[in-house]
Amino acid sequence: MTEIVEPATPRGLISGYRPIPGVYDEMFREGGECREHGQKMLAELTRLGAGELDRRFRQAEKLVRDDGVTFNTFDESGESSRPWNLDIVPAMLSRDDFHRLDQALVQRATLLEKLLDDLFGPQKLLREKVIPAELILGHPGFQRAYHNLQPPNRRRLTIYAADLARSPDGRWWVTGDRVRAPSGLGFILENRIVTSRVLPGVFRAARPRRLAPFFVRLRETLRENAPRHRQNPRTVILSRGADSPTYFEDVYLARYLGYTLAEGGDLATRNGRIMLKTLGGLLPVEVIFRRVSDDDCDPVELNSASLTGVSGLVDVVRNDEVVVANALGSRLAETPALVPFLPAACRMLLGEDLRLPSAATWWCGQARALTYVLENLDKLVIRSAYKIKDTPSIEAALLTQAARNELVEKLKARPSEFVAQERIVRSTVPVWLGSTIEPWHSAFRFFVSADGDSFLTLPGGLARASPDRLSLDRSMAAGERAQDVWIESDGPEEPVSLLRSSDEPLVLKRSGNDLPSRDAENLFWLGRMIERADGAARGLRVLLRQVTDDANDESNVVRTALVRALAALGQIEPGFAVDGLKSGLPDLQESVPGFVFNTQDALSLKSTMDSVARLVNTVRDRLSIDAWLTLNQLQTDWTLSPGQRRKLDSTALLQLLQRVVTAVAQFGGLSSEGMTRTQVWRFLELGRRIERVWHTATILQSTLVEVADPEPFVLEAVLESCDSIMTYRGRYLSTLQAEAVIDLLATDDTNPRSLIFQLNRIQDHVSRLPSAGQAVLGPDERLAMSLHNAVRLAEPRELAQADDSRRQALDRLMQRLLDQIPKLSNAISQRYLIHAGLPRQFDRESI
Amino acid sequence: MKYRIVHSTAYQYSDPVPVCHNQLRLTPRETPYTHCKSHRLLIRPVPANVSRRKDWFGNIVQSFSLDESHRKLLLTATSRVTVSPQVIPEFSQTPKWEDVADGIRSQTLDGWFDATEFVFDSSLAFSDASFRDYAVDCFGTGHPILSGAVALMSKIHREFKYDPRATTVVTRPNEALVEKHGVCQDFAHVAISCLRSLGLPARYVSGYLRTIPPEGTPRLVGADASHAWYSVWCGKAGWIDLDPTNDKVCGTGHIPIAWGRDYSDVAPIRGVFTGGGQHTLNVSVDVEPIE
Repeated sequence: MTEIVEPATPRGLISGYRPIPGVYDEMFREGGECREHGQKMLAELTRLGAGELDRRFRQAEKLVRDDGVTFNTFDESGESSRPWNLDIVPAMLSRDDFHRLDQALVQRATLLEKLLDDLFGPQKLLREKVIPAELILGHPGFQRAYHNLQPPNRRRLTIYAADLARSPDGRWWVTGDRVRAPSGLGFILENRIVTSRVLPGVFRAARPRRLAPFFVRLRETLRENAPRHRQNPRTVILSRGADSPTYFEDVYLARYLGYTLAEGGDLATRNGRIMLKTLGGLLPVEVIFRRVSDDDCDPVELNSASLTGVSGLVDVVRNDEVVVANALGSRLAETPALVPFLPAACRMLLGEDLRLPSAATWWCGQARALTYVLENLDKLVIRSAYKIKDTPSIEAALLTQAARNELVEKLKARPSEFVAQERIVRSTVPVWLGSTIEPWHSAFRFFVSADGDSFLTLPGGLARASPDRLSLDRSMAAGERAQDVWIESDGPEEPVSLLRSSDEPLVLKRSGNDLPSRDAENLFWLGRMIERADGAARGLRVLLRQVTDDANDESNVVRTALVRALAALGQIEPGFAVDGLKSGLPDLQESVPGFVFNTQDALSLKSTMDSVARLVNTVRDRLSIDAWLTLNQLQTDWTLSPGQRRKLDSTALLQLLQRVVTAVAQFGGLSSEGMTRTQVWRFLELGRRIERVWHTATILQSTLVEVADPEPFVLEAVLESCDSIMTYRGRYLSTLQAEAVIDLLATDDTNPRSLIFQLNRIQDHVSRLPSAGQAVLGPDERLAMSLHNAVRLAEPRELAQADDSRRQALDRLMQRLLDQIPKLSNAISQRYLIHAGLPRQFDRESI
Repeated sequence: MKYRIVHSTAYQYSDPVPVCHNQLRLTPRETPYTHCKSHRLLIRPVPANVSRRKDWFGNIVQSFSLDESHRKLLLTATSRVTVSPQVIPEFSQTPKWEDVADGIRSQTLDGWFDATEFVFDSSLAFSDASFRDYAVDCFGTGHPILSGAVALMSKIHREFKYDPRATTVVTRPNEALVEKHGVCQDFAHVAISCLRSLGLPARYVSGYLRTIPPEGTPRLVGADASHAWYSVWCGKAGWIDLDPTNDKVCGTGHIPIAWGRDYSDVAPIRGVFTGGGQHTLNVSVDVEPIE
């Protein structure tokens, strides 16, 4: 095929691009002309021009932010998530280059799988001294439980990742093998989606190979490996949970591959099988795609202190009732100390030479290697030989004399715990820097999936780039930019989508009882927290408007009532509601931002917003994307720098409160229109309704039980706090009377804000939960019914009736609601949500 | 010697335990000198299934789960074992200890592969300069390995105080070495650490000990306890078991259950449960000689 391509003479945005002498550049030859495989891409980028490219770059940044792509790198306070910085320029590799890489990576994956088979089986490699016995039998990660654990004919490696660097002569070197639960696939997908969306023209012109077929094969492999129902085995992604650095990706992959996201606590061993705890009961799991480290998968036989695993899992694997991918124990293949022995192992196990070399590595446990390492220390990087944790590597050349001596002593004292590695001078990739493109050092990660009896390389990958050559050696999270890796295609590719990959007819489903109990619990609390935030924001909004008004008798009365209500809701210091204490406290208006942002107080609005953010993260795969975006944006608005926080005045705070009210309304609309009426929706709803009863009852009790004088302004503030002022005015114009207000907020079943409306909905929801509808009502059904009837039977006139300026009937009814609502919430938890406690160990029997 | 051994363990919980998973190493091991004629395990409440397998070290592991709520867990293992006397080589006939250490290091001595893992560090028994210093006077240049190992056993017996309150099951041997006290488990861990520090393979053995009541007093039923000792690899002379608690080369009074690198490989009961509140544990062991 011939196509006229603009000559790749440097001009425009690349005119200043100078490959670093003595370093391989992925895009340009030493002389400065573009390599052939990059020419179409470069031509398109050049055609866009610097201004447009930068605009697209910002667009990409926004897309990444909106999608919430984070690689959680915890700062010292342990809470921040760092956004993923995606570069707009893809790293492009030629067809031939990738072809060679593909073959070499498949060979390496095959080798590592066979190596594990041997080490967890006959151990010929040790008996025949190809690998020193100490390296495995003295390996702190060689758990004896893994030996002979895997039933024969099961794939040991389903997914393998290799970290690569390219040296100045253009050769690839492996800097690390990843088999535990290699991260990056989710980021690769996200990078591809964003890059192709902001650079559609470039994407069309350069036509990189598609990623989807790889994921189809990955899913097929997992399915074919299932011990029983190979048609459609229940597969879960076992995640370490929302606090784990890769949680974003766990959720992303669960969604993309169509698997249930589960944590250790969602799974249980029963009758020799692994079960998923769901609302509808226990459902058998056949395949576990794990994102949890090997040793943390089962506290009974492995690391007994771990809480992320499933008790009894190892025994279930042993009996071939569940398949774990990658197989438990695979981590052994990541051992850096194995690297020097891989070429010999390859000859023994595969009868061929290793195609892809590793960066030169010496295991100090061998006397000759130790001597070499000590003599050449400054040229080498020192790492842990066994890599139990991601411990940072040590650059001897950068150490002080004292620290260097200390290192030498350590190496001599416990040599077998260390390896030394030669550093590769990494290749560079062009990176977009706002107005020009410059060469940055690069690190590549490629993925290989099991496929039938062999392996398949993902035609794409993850590139990380940094101007600092050394920083890339440190960890997966290091590097300032990520780039999508594009592989030059052989020709047009068939479009493949994961959504319709199977020819099997689908069984139509409506239920949703297989919602994991933990997800139901989180949705329930998300509903409660969202409603709590809404109620607090509305109340605070009314109060802030009041305190900025001039003081007069009427506004004082209103203020007293509102302060009492907000104190009862836990939004402001209760002292403000007590006459005697008020004078000793600072000005109310100035104190409000302090209350709102007091994260020490669990009920403060900011704490509630933080809970919303945490919960939203844990049930992300259960919400519609738009609903999630709405709450994510709200969280961003509510994240203030210390400077912004100091300057926050009532006007700015009012805007923030307004944002809450609007976002919650949007979320409510999206969830009522955009969610199917499954149990997911029901638990979210139940949470919201229950919280709203609590909120409205609290306000009515704290403002209307004591009859204020004059009362109309208080009534107006109450209507406003409960979002019913427009309805009221529509009905009664400006005549404000207690009976009509109480009717509208308590007993009017047409007002979606009234107590009876909530209780109606609650009763309906609990009667449709999975175990409901039996001859004998459950405690939750009974409570919901009794509360509903109490309000249903109440007479508005009687509730409004006051003796000695006090409405006793209203007080009694509200008190009953406030007492019983928490009980209802608990009854629902007990029946559907409660989890067995944390696993504990027997005190080991003393001898 | 023939024995009937009853090993009972009872857990009582203040709150119900809805689920538990357990692994037991309570079946006496088959060796050239010991034969387990029968083994019966009684579990209350009765689990649906008890599985049985051999672990990496060849010990028998029985596992079971309970998923009905219980406040009490009772385990009774009853074993009938025959122990014949082991022929202990003349100490002087065992290889020089340096030859064993070299043969292991160079992977050349016959049988090196099966012995070699017991020379490497494990979590409760590891090499260290302090152990080497402690053991070095027992292993003179060119000494036969068994003379050295027995001298080390006697030294520990002489210098360490038996004190069940001083240590726990997770006390590390370097602490025990500094304080010079502990129980059979600590003595075995110290001895193993010393031998490994000299490059010699040594393993931990859990088992039962026949206790002989003082003259004229009857044998108290259930007053025995499970016991532990160590075994040293003597090259072609094989593994020899030594009991530092009693300063004895093990004989027909020692009945092995399991061996491993240290206690954590052979813990008699390992388990995970949920709930339970406070719990108490009662163990009784009865080693009854028959015939």
